Amino acid sequence: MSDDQDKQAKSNIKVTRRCLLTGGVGVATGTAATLVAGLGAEGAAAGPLDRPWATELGDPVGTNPYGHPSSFEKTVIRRPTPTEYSPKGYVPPMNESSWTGTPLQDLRGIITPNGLFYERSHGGYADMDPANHKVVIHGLVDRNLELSMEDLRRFPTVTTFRFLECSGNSDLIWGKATYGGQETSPYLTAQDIHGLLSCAEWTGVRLSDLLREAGADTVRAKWLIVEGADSGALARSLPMARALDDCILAFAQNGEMLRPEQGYPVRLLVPGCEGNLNIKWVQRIEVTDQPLFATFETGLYTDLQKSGKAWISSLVMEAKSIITFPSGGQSLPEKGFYQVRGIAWSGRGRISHVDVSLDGGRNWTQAQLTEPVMSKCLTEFTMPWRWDGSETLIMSRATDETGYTQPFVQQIVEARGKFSEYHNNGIQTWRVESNGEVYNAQG
Amino acid sequence: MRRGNLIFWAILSLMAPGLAVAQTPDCNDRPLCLGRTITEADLAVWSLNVFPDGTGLSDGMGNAEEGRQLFRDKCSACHGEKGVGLKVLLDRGAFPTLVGSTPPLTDTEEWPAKTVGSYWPYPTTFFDYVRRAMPFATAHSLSDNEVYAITAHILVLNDILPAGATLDRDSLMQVTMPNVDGFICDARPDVFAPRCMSNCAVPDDAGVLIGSGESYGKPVPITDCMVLK
Repeated sequence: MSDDQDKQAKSNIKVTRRCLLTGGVGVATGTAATLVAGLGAEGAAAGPLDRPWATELGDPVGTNPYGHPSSFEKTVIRRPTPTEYSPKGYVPPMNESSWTGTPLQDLRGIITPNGLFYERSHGGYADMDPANHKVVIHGLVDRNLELSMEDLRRFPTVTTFRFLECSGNSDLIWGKATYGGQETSPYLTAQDIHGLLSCAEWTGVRLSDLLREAGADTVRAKWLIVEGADSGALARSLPMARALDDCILAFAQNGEMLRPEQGYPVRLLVPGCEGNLNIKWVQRIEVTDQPLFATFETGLYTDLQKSGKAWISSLVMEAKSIITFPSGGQSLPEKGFYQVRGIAWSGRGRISHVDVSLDGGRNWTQAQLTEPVMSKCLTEFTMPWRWDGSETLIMSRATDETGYTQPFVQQIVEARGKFSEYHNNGIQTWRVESNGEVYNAQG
Repeated sequence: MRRGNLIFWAILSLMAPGLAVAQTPDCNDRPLCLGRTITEADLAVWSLNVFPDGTGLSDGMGNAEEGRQLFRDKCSACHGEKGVGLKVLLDRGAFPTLVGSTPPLTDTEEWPAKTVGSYWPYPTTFFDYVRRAMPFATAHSLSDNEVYAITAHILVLNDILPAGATLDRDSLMQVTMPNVDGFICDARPDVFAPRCMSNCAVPDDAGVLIGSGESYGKPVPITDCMVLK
C-alpha cells in the first residue's frame, strides 16, 4: 500500500469510527459503506485489543501545536440565536453587530474555554497589534499618562475568577407575547436562551493602581469614561467607587492572552456588572466629575418600566441559576438515576444556596454546591435524581450571600412590564416529557 | 512611538548629556514610574467624549438641509430615508429606528418606540455617538460640521427643531429632548421572594402575592446612578 493509499484508508477508518459511535447514517458513500461493512467485525464488534487505536499508532505528538477538542465534540461550539426559533425581528441584521452564545449545556464546572466564551460586539471585533496599542489616562489627574502594553504588564498583577453576562441574556423568556405576540419556542436550548454568559480566570492590573500612577483626584472625580479602540469607540461611564473596588484591566484569560473577540490586547473587567460595561480593546480612560450618558447607557441597555420611565445605570447582574442537565434539546434515554447539574451566579457576591424543584416550583430541595464557591463567579451545583419516567417540570433557584433569592420570571415581568427586556434573572423551567425529551417550558 | 523616543533621547544624550538628563521625565512624583506623561496637545486627537453640559462639543456648525443630503447619502441605506429603520434581510430584524414616538413608552401591547426623539435624554448623546461610531463601517469619516448637520436633520425629523434649523455648540445646548425626565435610578432589587421550601406559591396561583423588593430592603449602591452634574 502506497503512503497515499495508506492515508486514504486511515481517514476512511476515522470516518467509519465516528459513524459507528454516533449512530450517524445516511450519508455514507459507496466506498465508505463498503468499509463500514468490512470493518464491522474488527471495529465495533472487535475486542478491546483489536480496535484500530489499540493496534496502530496514533497521531504524532505535536500534530496540533495549538490543540483542539476531539473531533467527536465538534458540535460543541458558539452559536448565534437560531432564527428559526426566534421571534420575528429578534436577530440583528448584520453579524458585525451581533452575538453568539456559549454552549452551557455541554460544559462542566465553572470555567468557559476561551474558544467558547460568548461573543457580543457592536462593530465587529478587531485583532490589533499590541506593539501599536496604547492606553491613555487623562482628565482629573496630576499627569496624563500613556501606557504601552509593555508598561501595563509591568504593573503588579492580580488574578480573579469572574463571570461575564450580557444584560440582554435570557430576554427570549421575558414573557409570552413580548415579541409580536409569538409564543416562545419549546425548542430553545440553554445556549439559545442563556448563552450570553461565560466565566473565566482573568489576569490583569488593578484600575486603582493605574489611577494612583496618574494621580487621579478620586475625591472630585466620580466617574471614569472608558473607551474601546474598536470601530465605534464604544464608551461607558464607570462609577469611581467600583473602579477603586475590584475593577481590573485584564490582558489574560484562562492563562493565555485575551482572544481578539474578548478585546485583545486589553479589556476592562467590572466584576458582577453587565457585559457591555466591560469595555474591550481599552484605549482611553477619562477621569471626570460627570457621567457621559453615552448611547449604550441611555438609548440602549436601560430598562423601560411600566410607568414609561426607564432605569438608568442598572449595572449589577442579580442572582441567577439555570439547570444545564437536563435542559432543552437533551433527552434522557431511560428512567433511572441521573445527576441534575447546573450553574449559579450573582453580581452581588457569593452564592449561598441553590434549590431545585421537580414539581413546577411548589416544593424545593437544596442542591450541593461544588467547591470552590467564589464571589461574582459561576458556582456549579448538583443534585442526585431518580427519574420515574413521568413528565417533570424541573427548575433551579439561587440565593446569594446578601439573602436575595432569584424570583420567577413572571414576577419580574409583573413588576417591570412586558417591554423591560434587560436584566432577566428569573427562574428557568424545563419540561422533561415522559419519552425523556427535554423542552423549554418558559414562555 | 515610545521606542522612537528612547532612541531620540539616547542620541540626544550622546550629543548633549546634560540637556537630555534634564528633560528625562522625573518619576519621583508617582509610585511606579511606568508609562510616559503626555500633554494636553497630545490628547487633542482623542477627544471624542461629549457630555450633557456641552463639555467636548466641537467648534463648527451644520444645517438640517445639509444634514438631509448627508443622511440620504451616508445613513439611509440602513436607517431609511425618513430615519424609521430599514429591513434588509427577510428573517432578521431591522436597523435602528431614529425617528417617531409611537407606540408611546407606556404602551402595553406593542413594543414602545425607543427612538432618538422619543427616548434619548440629551442631544449631546446623539452628537457623541454619531461622531464616534457612525456611519456604521466607516466610523470617523464625518467632519464635525457634518455631525452637526446630521444631528440637526434628525432633530427636525423628530419635530424637536424647526425645518432648516442650524446647530452649533450654543444652539445644541439650547435643545431640550422630550424624554429628558424619562430616566430614574435602577430600583433593583424590585422583586424578591423569600426562600420558601415547601408548599410554595407559584405564579399560576390565583391572586397570590409573591413578594416585592421592599421586603428585601437592600438597594443597589446609589454611587452607580448617573445624575446630571
